[in-house]
Amino acid sequence: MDEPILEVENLAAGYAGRPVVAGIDITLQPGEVLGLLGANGSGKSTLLKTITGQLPPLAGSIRIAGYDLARTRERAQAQFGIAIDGPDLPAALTGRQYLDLVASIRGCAPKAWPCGDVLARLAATAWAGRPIAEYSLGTRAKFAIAAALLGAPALLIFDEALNGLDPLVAWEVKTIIAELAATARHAVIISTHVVETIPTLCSHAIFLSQGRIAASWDRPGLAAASASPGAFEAAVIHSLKAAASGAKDAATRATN
Amino acid sequence: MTEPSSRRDRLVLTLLWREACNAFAALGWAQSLALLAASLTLLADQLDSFSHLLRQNAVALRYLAWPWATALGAGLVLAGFIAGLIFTVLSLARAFAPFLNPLPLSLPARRRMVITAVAWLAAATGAAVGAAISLAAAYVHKPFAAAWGVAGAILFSLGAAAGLWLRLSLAPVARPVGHRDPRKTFAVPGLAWADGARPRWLGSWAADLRAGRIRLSAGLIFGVAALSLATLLAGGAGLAQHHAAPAAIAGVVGGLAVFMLALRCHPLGSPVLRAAPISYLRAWAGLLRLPLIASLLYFAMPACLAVAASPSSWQMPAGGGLCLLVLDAAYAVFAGFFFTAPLLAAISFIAVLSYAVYKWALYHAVVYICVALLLGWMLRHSRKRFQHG
Repeated sequence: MDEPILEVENLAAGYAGRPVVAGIDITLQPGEVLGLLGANGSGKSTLLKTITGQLPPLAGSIRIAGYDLARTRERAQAQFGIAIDGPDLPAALTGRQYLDLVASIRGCAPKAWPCGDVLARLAATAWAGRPIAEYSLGTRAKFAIAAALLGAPALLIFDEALNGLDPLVAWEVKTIIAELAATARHAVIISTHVVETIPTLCSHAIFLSQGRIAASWDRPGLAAASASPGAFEAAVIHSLKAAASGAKDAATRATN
Repeated sequence: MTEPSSRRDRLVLTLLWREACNAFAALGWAQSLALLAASLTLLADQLDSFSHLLRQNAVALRYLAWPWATALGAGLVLAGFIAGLIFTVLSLARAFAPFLNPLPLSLPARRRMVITAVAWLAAATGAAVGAAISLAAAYVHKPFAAAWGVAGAILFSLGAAAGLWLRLSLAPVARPVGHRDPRKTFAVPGLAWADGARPRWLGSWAADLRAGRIRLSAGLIFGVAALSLATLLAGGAGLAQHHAAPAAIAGVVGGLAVFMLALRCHPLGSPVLRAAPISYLRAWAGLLRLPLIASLLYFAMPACLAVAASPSSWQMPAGGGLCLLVLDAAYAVFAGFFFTAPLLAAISFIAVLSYAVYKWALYHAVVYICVALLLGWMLRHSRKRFQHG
């Protein structure tokens, strides 16, 4: 069996010493696509920030393509590409300059994509010479995705990166993800609220509630959960309602 | 109707207060205690030096009116003016923050918010300044000590009001959302070469050079004119007296001013760099590239004038160049530490530099060691924050 691309063991992370996520264990093999689900504030972004080294873990360990994030930070960070949130992109630069910047940091050519000309596939070439400040949410998302794929990193992370994309481009992004997973050289994490995306695109899925993995589905589990149209969505909505009810009870207990 | 309006007018003041509280809360206990201990030590040292100075000149200060009426008065107006400018810049940034753009706040309402915040801040600072003057006057047994304090507070406040008025007159303070910036832009020559080394375009991002173009602004024109005039005057004086010093000093001071005005480190807080395989030192060094080139280019002109004025004194501009590099590097550490607040970085750097120069006469090498230790601590802390948020 190949070495896992991502190994997260007993991870706890949060802000100012207070854990937002805890007891997280994730293993991703090459070719796997993990769907990350959860209500707002459930800890999805905190988990992804910790995996990408933007937040220090309070406990546990993270290994990316064999490199420990705590000990060999830069080597570990070279193994993943993350689609940055649109508002965080450098507004002063043009899309082309942003891709140049990311490529120069990753030490690859500014068009070193693993799946052809990504800008052309995402219909973004015409915008490459304009400052990012002039881009819409969707156009920013296209360049963030294009930058994440530069240098063909082993782990690809998309934190709600499909938001704002038109159906055609969203379809193209899903096609790219499926193509990359099929090569068995990459693993992908997709955090999304678009629940119906998960069964068609992902090989695994986890549901976060109050910072813990409340439910998980493997490949057969996902297939079974989505056996009938809308069944998986209904299961996730049920989990979300249960999570909301649990959070309400916890808040009431804390008040009393 | 009056109450909501007055509450709205205090919005900027409330935002500044909350930001200050959050900044202190984010420091944590250990850092807050270290900061408090360092501040109290410095304050005690300053009070000791100041009281010594007052004791030495007590008789003159007690009976003469001119040091209080002219030197102190002019100093207070100037200090108030600078404080007023700083308070206004900080308040304007909050009054026109992006999250307030969609709210139904008219331009006059936002100006009232700024004026209210600056008035409160200037009044509080003026009161502290007035109290300090009263205490100093009482210490040397000067008659009407309280009156001198009140007069000092009024002069400081007048200066602050002038700073507020000047900044508010320098339109534009804001533009409607989606409004095209009317200022002319021009391409920066040689930018692809200057900002082309890895990591590419980091300097353009930091300096907000939209697609490699710089915007023509009143501040930019004033800065270029002031620096050019200073160089010409210093160079002319040096050539007339066949002396290298005026142009060499102008080169160092001007070069440092160019570096401080040009250096921006806000990309250090961006996930674009923090989630990328790049070390803090490499990212930080990349941000220094363009400002350092601008600083050295500026320095080259007065340095040439200094050599032309006195060819045998070539060591003076050469030493000035080394001194400029050291000062630029020291400021760069401050800019990296206060990466979201260049104004705070500049004020802190100037304060530390002034204090070091003042104490150098007494402690010599110890001052160098203390400054080096401070810079090392700041660099280490900045690196840690870059890695761990």
